[in-house]
Amino acid sequence: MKSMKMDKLTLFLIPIGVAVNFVGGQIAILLHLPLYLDAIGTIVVGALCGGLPGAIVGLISNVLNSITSPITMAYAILSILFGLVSAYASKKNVFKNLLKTMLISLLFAFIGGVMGACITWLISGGDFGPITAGSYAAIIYEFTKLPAFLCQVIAEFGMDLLDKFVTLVVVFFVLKSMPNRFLAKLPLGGIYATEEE
Amino acid sequence: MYSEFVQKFLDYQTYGNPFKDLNPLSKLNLLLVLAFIPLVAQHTVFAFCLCIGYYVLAVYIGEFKYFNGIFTKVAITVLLFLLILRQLTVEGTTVLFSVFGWKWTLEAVLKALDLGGIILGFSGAIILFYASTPMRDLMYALEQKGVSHTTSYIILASFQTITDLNASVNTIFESQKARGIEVEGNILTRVKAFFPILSPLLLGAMSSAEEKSIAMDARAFSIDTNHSFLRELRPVPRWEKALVLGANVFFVAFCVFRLLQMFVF
Repeated sequence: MKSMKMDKLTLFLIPIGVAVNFVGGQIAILLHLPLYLDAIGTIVVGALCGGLPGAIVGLISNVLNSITSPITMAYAILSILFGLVSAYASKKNVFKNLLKTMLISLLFAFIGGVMGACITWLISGGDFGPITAGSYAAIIYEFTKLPAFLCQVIAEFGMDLLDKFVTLVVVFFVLKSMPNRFLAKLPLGGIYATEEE
Repeated sequence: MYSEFVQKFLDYQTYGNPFKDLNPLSKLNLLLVLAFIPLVAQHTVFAFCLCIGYYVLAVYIGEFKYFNGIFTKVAITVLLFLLILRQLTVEGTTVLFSVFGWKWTLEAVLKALDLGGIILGFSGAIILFYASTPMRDLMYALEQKGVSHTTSYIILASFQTITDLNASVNTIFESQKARGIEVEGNILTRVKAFFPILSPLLLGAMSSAEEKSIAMDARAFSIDTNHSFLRELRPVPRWEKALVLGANVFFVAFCVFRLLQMFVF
């Protein structure tokens, strides 16, 4: 990170993105929602500032999460991908349209669910992992007798799809409500600037 | 000549405990070696003995409460999940007991403990590292190795921002509740309540970043020269370098031995 060159505002938004990831999860707990909502900061920073700042937010969030749950370190690559994909989607104007935003939650759920399931499978020695989705996977396995790995994928993808759907809808409205004078100072902010009357 | 307060910044920052006083990077290196040994060794009893060792070390450095609080939660979660899940997927013949007709087998329990030992052996080392190393010391050590001060700022500011936003969450939550926003009810009502809580928080935090960037620039944050430090850690002694080197050599040799054991012997 020594040669990292980012403009100042982007730099100061990174800690805020990390904090929003944590606080999002905390609000979900306060509201008793069965969702993580811990990637909002990563996606917003990725969408406004670019892939590298988004990826850094994801990575730092995972490292800080590992203080209380070291196993989350294995999933850092997913958070980095969320940041990179959100920047790419932002450049393609995906977050300017609610329908497109909802549809891209499938891609985010694929990263979090399918790739997440592969990581779980690897660190659990080819069996269900010691995470919440593991218990849902076990229930699916008991009732359907499908292959265990497929059950893990279905469980993690299902959980992530609902989570990322809500996350991305939140991101859409947050980006929509940003003032122009703030957006003008961010690398990808121009995409979301509205014409003043 | 100097007051006690000033004097404590003139000396190297130490904690009076040999383990805590290790350079943060040396400590990270040693604990990572310990973290990966259970994975290479694949020995359940050894992994759980290592966990007891972590507890002893936590007592020695005076961080038992912190370590125990986090490690116990991780251990209970991991072992509970694994013990139940492995009963479903591992077919065993030695029945230990039966719960409403559900037979728990020894083979499944052993398989759960195998993986549980590796995960807890890894987790314990990481928790112990955070318990024994303040983040500012780690960032100081990284800056000494050439990592930019910007990286330090990002990491340390993240901690502060989490604390600040956490305090704001409760205020906004209660305010929105007082304004009549439904925060209880079915899942759709609760999801809808998420927006009026997060939006003001996020937008407020983002506009504060703008003010912060101007304030930091006014205090020469971006200046491209070596920064000075208020707190300095002691230089790494030779014996500490030798200890780290020895641990790394031992770990590499142990990995080679295990590979030979698996594929040759």
